[in-house]
Amino acid sequence: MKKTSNIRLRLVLIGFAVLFLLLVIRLFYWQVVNAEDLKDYGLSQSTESLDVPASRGQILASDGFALATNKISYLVYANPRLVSDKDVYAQKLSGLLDMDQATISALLSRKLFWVRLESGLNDVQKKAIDNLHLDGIGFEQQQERFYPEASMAAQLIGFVGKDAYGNQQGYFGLEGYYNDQLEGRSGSLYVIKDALGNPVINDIRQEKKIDGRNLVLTLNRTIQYDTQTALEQGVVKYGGESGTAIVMDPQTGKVLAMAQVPNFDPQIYYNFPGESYVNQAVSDLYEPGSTFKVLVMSAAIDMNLVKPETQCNICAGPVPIDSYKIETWDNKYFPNTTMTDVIQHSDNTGMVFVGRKLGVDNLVSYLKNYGIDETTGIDLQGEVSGTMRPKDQWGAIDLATASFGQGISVTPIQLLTAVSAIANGGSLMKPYVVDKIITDDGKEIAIKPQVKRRVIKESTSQIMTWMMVNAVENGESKWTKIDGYKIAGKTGTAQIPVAGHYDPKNTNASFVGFFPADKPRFAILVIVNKPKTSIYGSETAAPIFFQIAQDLINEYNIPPSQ
Amino acid sequence: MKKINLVVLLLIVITLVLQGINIYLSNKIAANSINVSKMQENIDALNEKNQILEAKILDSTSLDHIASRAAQLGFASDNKNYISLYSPLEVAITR
Repeated sequence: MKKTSNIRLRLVLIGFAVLFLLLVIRLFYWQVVNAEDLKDYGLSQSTESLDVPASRGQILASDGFALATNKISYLVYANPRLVSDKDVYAQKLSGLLDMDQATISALLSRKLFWVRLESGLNDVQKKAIDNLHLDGIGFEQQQERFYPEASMAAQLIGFVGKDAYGNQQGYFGLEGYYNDQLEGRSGSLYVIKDALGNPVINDIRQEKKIDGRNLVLTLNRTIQYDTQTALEQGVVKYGGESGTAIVMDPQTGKVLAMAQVPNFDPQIYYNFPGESYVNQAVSDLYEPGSTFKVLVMSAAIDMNLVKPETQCNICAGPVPIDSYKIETWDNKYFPNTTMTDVIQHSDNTGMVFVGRKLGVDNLVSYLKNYGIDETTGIDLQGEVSGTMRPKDQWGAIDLATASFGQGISVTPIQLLTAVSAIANGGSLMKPYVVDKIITDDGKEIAIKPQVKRRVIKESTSQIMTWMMVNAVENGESKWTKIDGYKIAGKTGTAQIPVAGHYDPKNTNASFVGFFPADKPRFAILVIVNKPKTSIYGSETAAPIFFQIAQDLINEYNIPPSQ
Repeated sequence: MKKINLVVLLLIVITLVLQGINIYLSNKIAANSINVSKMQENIDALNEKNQILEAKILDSTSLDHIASRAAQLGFASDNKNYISLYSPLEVAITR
């Protein structure tokens, strides 16, 4: 009897143990295996989650004026099922929207609960539609990118479009380069609901959004406007196909203005051809022609191979090299001309003389130091660099043509950065556009000027500066110079390579320089592509250069040179 | 026994008082929530208005807008407005 009761007790015990085990397994299933799903399910019943989009950071000029910011716009939609008379609605709305009556009527005839009518409405349009008191018409607030200065520095700023998922995405210029900094991080808002589904106001949890960072540029808004205006007027006046102008502080590498013609409006970028988005200042490789001579001459002076008074002994006529003949641009020859006069007359034969003095090794080495075969590192999207052929592939003709800036490609920003090294005493600076980054919590991150390396001696830079001042005072562009100011400059008229040969009709006309010559504050490069009224830089790019220089003198109150 | 009854009575009174306080505070919070909600709506509306006004100010003070307005009013840019101290420009033509 006792034995039987023991067995029964054990059976009950085992039964309980099994039940307990099943309970543990079930609990393990819910609390460990399925915990996340259960948690989400619970949250979905008790909370409501709302996305809080981050505001895209602003792009500000150096005076704090917003060049790119955000503004509120409205999307107007309709619920066709609530529309009483679609023809009356269409008639009333067509006068206020950029849509014709038939299109609105067709949209209102669709058997849907929500139909998008038009987006990008401003507050005045919204108010006007509101005042119609039409049932079934509603608005959705949107944030859109806004460029108050319209097309000013459009290629430098870029624009905001959509990525493959429909999210905002910056393209080109600063919008593209600094997209990660500008876009910020969206947050979420969790509202706890009571049993009836009403929000409990005092119990709101949130994942804080982080607004995009603001960029403060080195760009001077007034100078940018003046540069853009001078370039536009110049390109139209001289019949050019396009043009580029850059103004830089040679001491720091700060870009003060960067203009381009033709331009585009980033607000409505989709109405412009894709090629107008490309920033020619950093993405366009071209043969610089005579503006390049100052780099080659400075290299020869730096190595003590020539002096300003050194005479050229091959400049009495065209210089034959292999089957080629190097001539001057105007077929005028100056026997025993000095190096100062070689720069003043932009004498190609004189530069062949300098190139031979330097030799391939030294020329390539100096050009590399000037950053000709590397990108400058400017903080803009799409920068490219030309490449120089290896030293052992240079022939006599390559050395000759490179000495006067043909057969070698650079971007405008590369050339201006290199010339700025002559202006500032010999240091190659890294050009930059963003001066400060301001974080969401107001912290300022300052961007400091960066010296990449020393290229030439200070004494060389001074000699070269005064040779360039002489070129402005007495050279081909003296007719357009500004009286009373010592400005160092050099004209350029370069042939354009087309499918293995040079275009016989068109040129790239340019002018590069800096001032005040004794303590340069501004380095400027102007390029006019394929001008029609004259092919020469001295008659097209130079007057634009001096117009910009005059604007800078006025803006910064620069006193005349003593 | 009498002592136990007193304790039970006290507990009941405390429960009722606490319940009353709970109801009062819940009502107060609900009322505050409505106020907070209204204030939040006001803040949102003012923010919206501010953003619209800010955009209008930026639009009106852009150099592009000022230049075109100035041109409409007959103003033109003068590139020779700098007076040199070292080699003075003529201010009146006497010959």
